[in-house]
Amino acid sequence: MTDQIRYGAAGFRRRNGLALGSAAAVFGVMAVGLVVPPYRTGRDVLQPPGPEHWLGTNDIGQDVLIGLMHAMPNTVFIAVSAALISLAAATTFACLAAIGGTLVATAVLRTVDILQVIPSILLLLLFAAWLQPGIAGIVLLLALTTWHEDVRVLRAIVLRELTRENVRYARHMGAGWSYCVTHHIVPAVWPTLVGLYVQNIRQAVMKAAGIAFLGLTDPRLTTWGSMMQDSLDHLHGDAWRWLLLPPALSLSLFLLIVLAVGQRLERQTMAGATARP
Amino acid sequence: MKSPDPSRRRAGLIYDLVNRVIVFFLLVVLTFALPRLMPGDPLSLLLSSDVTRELTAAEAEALRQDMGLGGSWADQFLTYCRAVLSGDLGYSFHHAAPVSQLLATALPWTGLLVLGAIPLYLIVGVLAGIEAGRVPHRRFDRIATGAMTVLASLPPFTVAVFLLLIFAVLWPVLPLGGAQPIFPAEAPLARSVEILRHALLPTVALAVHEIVRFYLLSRGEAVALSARPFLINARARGISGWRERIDYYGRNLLPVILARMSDSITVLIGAVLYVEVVFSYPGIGHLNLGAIMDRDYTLLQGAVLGLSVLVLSLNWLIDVAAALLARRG
Amino acid sequence: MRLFIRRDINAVVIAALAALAAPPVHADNVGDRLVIADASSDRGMPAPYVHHKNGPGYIYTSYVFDTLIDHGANGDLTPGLAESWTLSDDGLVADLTLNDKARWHDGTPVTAEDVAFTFAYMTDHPYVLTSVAMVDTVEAISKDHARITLKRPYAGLQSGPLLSLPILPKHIYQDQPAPERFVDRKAATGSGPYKLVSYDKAQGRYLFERNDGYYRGTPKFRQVAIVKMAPDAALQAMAAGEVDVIGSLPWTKVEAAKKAGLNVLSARSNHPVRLVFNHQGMFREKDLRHALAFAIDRQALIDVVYQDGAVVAETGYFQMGSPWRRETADPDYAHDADKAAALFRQNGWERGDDGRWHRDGSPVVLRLIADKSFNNLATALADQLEAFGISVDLRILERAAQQEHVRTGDFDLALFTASTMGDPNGVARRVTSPMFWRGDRFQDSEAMKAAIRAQAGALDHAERLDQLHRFQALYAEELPAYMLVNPIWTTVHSDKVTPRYLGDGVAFGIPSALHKSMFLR
Repeated sequence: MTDQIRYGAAGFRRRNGLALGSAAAVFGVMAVGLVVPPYRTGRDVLQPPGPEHWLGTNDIGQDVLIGLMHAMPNTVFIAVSAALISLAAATTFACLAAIGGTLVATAVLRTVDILQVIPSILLLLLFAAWLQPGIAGIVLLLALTTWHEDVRVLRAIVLRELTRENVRYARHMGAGWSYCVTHHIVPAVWPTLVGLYVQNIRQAVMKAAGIAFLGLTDPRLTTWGSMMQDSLDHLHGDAWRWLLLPPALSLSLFLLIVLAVGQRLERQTMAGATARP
Repeated sequence: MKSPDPSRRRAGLIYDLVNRVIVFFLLVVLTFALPRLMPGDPLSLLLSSDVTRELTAAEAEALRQDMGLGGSWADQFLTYCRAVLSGDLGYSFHHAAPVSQLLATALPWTGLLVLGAIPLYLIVGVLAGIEAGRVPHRRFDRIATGAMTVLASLPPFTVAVFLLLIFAVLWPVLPLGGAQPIFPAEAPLARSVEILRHALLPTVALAVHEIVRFYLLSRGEAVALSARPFLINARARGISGWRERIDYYGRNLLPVILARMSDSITVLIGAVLYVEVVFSYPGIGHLNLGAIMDRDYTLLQGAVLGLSVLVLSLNWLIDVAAALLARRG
Repeated sequence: MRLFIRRDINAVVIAALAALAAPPVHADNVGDRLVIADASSDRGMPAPYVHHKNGPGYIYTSYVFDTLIDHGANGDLTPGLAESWTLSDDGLVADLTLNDKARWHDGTPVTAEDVAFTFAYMTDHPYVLTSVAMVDTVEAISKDHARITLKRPYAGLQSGPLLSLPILPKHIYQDQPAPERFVDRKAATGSGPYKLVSYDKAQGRYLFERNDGYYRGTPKFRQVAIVKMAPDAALQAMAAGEVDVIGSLPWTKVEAAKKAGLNVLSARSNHPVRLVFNHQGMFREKDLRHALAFAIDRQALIDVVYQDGAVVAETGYFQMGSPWRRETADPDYAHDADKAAALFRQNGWERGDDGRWHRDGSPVVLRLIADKSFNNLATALADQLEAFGISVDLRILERAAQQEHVRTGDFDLALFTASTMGDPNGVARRVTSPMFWRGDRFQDSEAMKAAIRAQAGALDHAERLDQLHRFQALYAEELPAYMLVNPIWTTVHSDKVTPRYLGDGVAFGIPSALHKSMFLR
């Protein structure tokens, strides 16, 4: 698949349009957190949806809709930044493994192999229980347990790009590695990076929701995963309709959107590849 | 992929094995160190109920020694390693039982779920994938791929919660949780039926995610195969139905599927934790989570080690099988 | 032990078979069987050294192991293994006459030797639920006459150790160097109304069978089973007649139980949730403790978090219904924002223009730590204090982290819960001891310490009560901790059985309705 990732100028613009749109959407979501009213307890407990509380209230009278809106920036931020950090780490190590000597490459690849066989859930559990992480902790923890997955793919692409004529030519003309990386290699691997990034976001959303669901994150951090956990006590009776469904739907909808964006990006890349003369 | 010569492949498998031994050793160190770095004193936690009484310093020290918490870290680590090497996983004071015994009662239940889920997702995922990829962009393909996309967007615990809600609460045809009814039947047959009934929902919940992965994998491969001459030939000769799907597609998919299996085991072990929590199923995931919450060092160490030995050896064996198969085919 | 070594070697293989081959429960006469549902998992094997160190673990063990003195159905002290007991005038020597019909489950008679052995053994192998430190010697004068000599007068002898110390069979425990590791079925040989038949750790299931020769009369039910079941599942099973007792039903499910027409037994748990102050920090000042108490609206907390599931707690430590409490109205610190504000101002706090409180020029931020189970209460409390103008840094921590915060003093306020029942000798640990991290850890009142000491050594009941009443008044005035809410606990039961909440809890104050008196005729 990575062999096909070559692109044309039109594709690049289109893709950038979509990427910019997504970025704007992410910032919009984060901004929501600033304008939503506070998530306060109240005497109206377990109210079904109605004119006063559009999505009802939970067992201590907190408004579910407000909760959803508070959870949205948290959930999105965790996913977006954990994926970013893990991709940055993966790229760095992939470049190191590609450019550095045999010793560096062996060290990096060996570490990756080792991390690959550890069930990441065990690491997550151990560390999460130890730190009871807040938002920054979760981001780091997720990045720590996912970065290794992308190193091999990225290294292969970087190696391929390194042997291309434009890079060799630039080197021949006396350009330094850093120049080559920023001017030739990064633009070439950009589409792959974007694709991996979108995949990583999905992974991070699922994992973050998972540890919140097990109750291993800071309970004050409202996320869709933690809202779902709170709703588990109410499966019997009616309250699950407004306590479980909204966060579950939000979570799945977000994952679907990310998936759709990823597929669109991939298709555009493919279209660009075939459009290339 | 070009097949390397056998000696290189053997070297590769040995490399994998060495990696896994290193991982195992790292986990021994990690499971030893991490809980000790966590805040909290296990003895105070064991006795943190308001009904316990005040211990004198001497009594507390005696209990501490007994719990393997006496002496320096280095001493504790040496004692620990020696015990692990001799096959003794220690004694959990919280459960008042040897760790190996606790693992032994929990592992079969987890094993039942995992072993039940593997054939389920293989059969459903691969068959649906072949069916969709045989003639891509047909109605079946579009519907199935759409459904799988939606399923892929449900985190594993969501699937478990909804299965529980639908089949145990709203339409209570299956049990709410646990591995057996309160009073298991005496006759072995009735008993097995009950156990299977309890395992059904958790197994399905566990399998769903892998169904999606294997569907997408085999669909992609099947699409590629459909364009290969040997299949076009076979179809022209009138080969269809099961023979086409199993002998032509299935055979050729086998190495790819096996290659993905070792990864799949790791994923399943992660997902089984959520499933066990949602269905309060008495398996190893439950045990692990409890050990973390109670700061039960010995049990946590034993459970993590037991689990990782299981995962590491299983996925190595699958890798070996995949390599052997690749050589034959 | 040998058994376990063998298991170590091929544990997994054996277990796979064992899981399927474990002896099934015989169910020939279901009507004669009492089924108790417990929401939590495993409580440990019901033997004194290996059950979990908490209330339910002790209660289940008490079905197998009898004590010298027991509670009757109304909560009074009644004879257990000891048919009668006398205490010398100086309060130093107790003579006990044992019931000669008492037998261990293996048929061996229970003798004074066993009693003497138990006290000696528990001195060597600390039993963490009840102390025997006040006992000097225990002698077996004859087969059924045991004499306990104390180091000093000890007012709570009957309602303390004699009531709660399980008597061990000498012939079984004398060869056990490490009772914490003694998990053979033999470890559960007691003299109580029920014998342990099977205990399945993974499923959290216990099965007991009636001790036919029980010295206090044949117990009512041929079998008693305890099964692990989530509350909702248990309610379903109870409606279907499969379960007879739900030991503790969360208040949120009480409505559903009533709707299903089940017998619902509710009582104040007297296991209140308290707001504990860090007495090393700013709340060393009594006035500030009072001010905060006035700032909190306890009824509003209940309206938000508990509704019908709790009542406002008594502030003088002992709760309504306790036999040690003086029936008087404790100061109730009724919510009064103005009074609170005045008290804060007197102590140098100032309210800024934005309505936030400041101390020494900087805004006040109180660090509140709580357990996950009090997440809701803590959130509502934080909301109240925020509304009053005090910022709260709420940290929901699991136990180990809480313990660390308490140890290092990294908190201002904490939510903890503990029983206030049982023999008042437990008060010292729960209120003044610096060691118990979930206690009040209050050291600043010499008068309170003196009252606690004096009641422990009091020779007659009236004198003891007098000291305890003094303690009660001091507690309400000093507020080592502010008693917030007294949750109501609920047991649901079928017509077969009548559980009862005892006025002073079971043994050392366990708020449970499942005392074994419900099995006796």
